[in-house]
Amino acid sequence: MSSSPIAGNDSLVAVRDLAVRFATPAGPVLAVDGVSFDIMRGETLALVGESGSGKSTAALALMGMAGLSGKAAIEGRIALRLKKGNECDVNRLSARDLRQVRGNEIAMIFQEPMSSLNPVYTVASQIVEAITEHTKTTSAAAHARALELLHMMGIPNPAKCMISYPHQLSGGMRQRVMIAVALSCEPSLLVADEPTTALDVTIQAQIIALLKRVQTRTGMAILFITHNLGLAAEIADRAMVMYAGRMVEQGAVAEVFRNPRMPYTQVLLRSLPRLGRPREPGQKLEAIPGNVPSALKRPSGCAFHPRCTFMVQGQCDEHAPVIESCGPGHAVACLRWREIAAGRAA
Amino acid sequence: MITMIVRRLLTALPTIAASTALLFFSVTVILGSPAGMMLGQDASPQAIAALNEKYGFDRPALVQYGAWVANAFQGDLGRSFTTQQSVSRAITDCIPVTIELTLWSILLAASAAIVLNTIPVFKRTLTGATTLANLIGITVPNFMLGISLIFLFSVWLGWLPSNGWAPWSDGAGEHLRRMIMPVLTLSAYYFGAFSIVYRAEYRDVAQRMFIQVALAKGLSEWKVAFKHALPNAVLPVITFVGISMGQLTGGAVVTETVFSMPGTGRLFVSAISGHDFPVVLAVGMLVVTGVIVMNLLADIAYTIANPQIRFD
Ligand SMILES: Nc1ncnc2c1ncn2[C@@H]1O[C@H](COP(=O)(O)OP(=O)(O)OP(=O)(O)O)[C@@H](O)[C@H]1O
Ligand code: SF4
Ligand SMILES: [Mg+2]
Repeated sequence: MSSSPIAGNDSLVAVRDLAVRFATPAGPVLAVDGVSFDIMRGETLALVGESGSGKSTAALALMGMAGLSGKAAIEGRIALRLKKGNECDVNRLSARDLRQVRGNEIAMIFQEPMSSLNPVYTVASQIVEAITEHTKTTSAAAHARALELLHMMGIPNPAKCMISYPHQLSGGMRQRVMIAVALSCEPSLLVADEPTTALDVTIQAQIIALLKRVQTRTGMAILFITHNLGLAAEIADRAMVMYAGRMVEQGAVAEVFRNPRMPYTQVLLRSLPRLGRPREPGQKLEAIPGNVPSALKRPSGCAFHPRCTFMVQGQCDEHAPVIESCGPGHAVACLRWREIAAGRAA
Repeated sequence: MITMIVRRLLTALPTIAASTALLFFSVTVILGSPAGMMLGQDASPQAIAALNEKYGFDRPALVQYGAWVANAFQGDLGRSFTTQQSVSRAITDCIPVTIELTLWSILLAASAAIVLNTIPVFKRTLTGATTLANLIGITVPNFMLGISLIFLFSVWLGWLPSNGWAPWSDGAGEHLRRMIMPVLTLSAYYFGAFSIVYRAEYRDVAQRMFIQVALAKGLSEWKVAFKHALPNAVLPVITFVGISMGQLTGGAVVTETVFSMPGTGRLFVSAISGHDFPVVLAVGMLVVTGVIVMNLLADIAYTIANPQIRFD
């Protein structure tokens, strides 16, 4: 296909102009508004943004699952390179083909390890189920594979874990089991939607280390969703920042961290403590003034303008910035990024 | 789990004992002097005294109760005042009819309620139809529903015989054909009730994260609905089924009457109107025991279905 956004480069997923609109009783909610991005093979892309910015919705759209929790209209193109080498548009797949993508090409782990496992089935049956759904194996082989996966997850007593029910496991153990479920069919992309938010700091670090180890071993790509930029820096190669359903900045992690161009990213960076780097005594966290805009009433122009210290009346509240390149592999959506970067803006 | 069952059994015994006593004394109070009732207002004191003598009504209530319990343990529940028939015999004749009617009806109601509210594909069209069926089941009185069914299937379509009930001894075909309408009638209400309970729980369960996880594994909507959502949503229905079956040991009076079925419900009603003290007491005991036993069974089933309780 000549129009393929993927052809000829190394990207695994190429999302173009993705828009997800929910019909709610209060009116339409544009949860994702024209977002484009690529995920390269084997890379880790961090998706950062405040609550409600559309991170989960965008990620679910990759698996054709954005519309499952409500009535949704989904537009745009989600090109996915399949394991077999051919390419598909997730947005145009039949329900049957979508099921082949889910779990097999793209797997997902969620924020709540406590409720991610079905309380009435054992760990073994929940991993085996994922395996047998996509591969023709005997039940014995699937069990052996499940055991191996649990072992790989660093679970102390995998055989015992196999026959356990979810409520018998700790949060960290459950998240390990969830990762085992996700990895069972060797997906080429793992979507991790705030996988450590519900866990305490020590366990959080262990899970991050585990994800990194598994990635080195399998070469899968990870889309790591977090509202913690510090965590993004720990794990990701590239980062993209979403605000009110739009992508506002993306680039290599080091670049985005050293030279954040979008005022929102700058405030985010200043407002969040970093993993493993405790705040210095006396250093204060800068709170972002104002509130996250309601998804029902998105501010005109640049959606960030009511909270932006660089906002210029008649400009920022009227013209929506488009995403443009601001450096090698670095893009930003801000009308004044040049002035701000040059230190000319006030 | 075993300890839980044993514990429940041990608490069930005093409950049964206490309810018998309560039932015995309240029935005595409500129905008043049995001899007076039996002989009518114009009975001579001598006749009443003779009767009191014969049945032991003149003894203190506590002594009468003790005698009743002692006899009950030997399977002797006394004789009916009106028919002079053995009460235990009358009850054992009625119970199979009522139990069969109850089992079929609850089975039909529960499985229809669960399956119809789980099927994902036609859901949008089905939800409306199921809601209507719920509404009909809960609001339309059983006698009306029963008579409408007779009118529809026997009078109008001529598919089913209208002449009441037939025992198994008339042949399984005859028996079962006559079972259809009573079962439909009795299950309607329970279908509606189970449906509402199940659907509310199912909606909750469908929002839980593991449902999204199951879909993300690539499972079909049917598999997610029946394998992952159903077992989690079915628990309150199990409890409700237990309660309903317990209550129905006392018979389904209206359904049994409309379809002339010799079940415990009809026995109970005729015993009350005939002031037939031993029969009222025996059926009452049956209901109390039925309720307790069915609740216990429901709890056990609930525990089996829910690993969270099973392993604690
Ligand atoms: N099923 C739905 N129906 C209606 N609105 C929805 C639905 N799902 C999400 N939304 C809305 O879309 C917006 C984006 O939600 P989303 O869950 O993608 O945000 P998020 O960035 O993942 O937030 P969080 O950090 O809280 O997980 C929110 O305003 C949310 O209210
Ligand atoms: S466009 Fe204007 S309001 Fe938006 S981030 Fe840039 S300066 Fe701030
Ligand atoms: Mg989210």
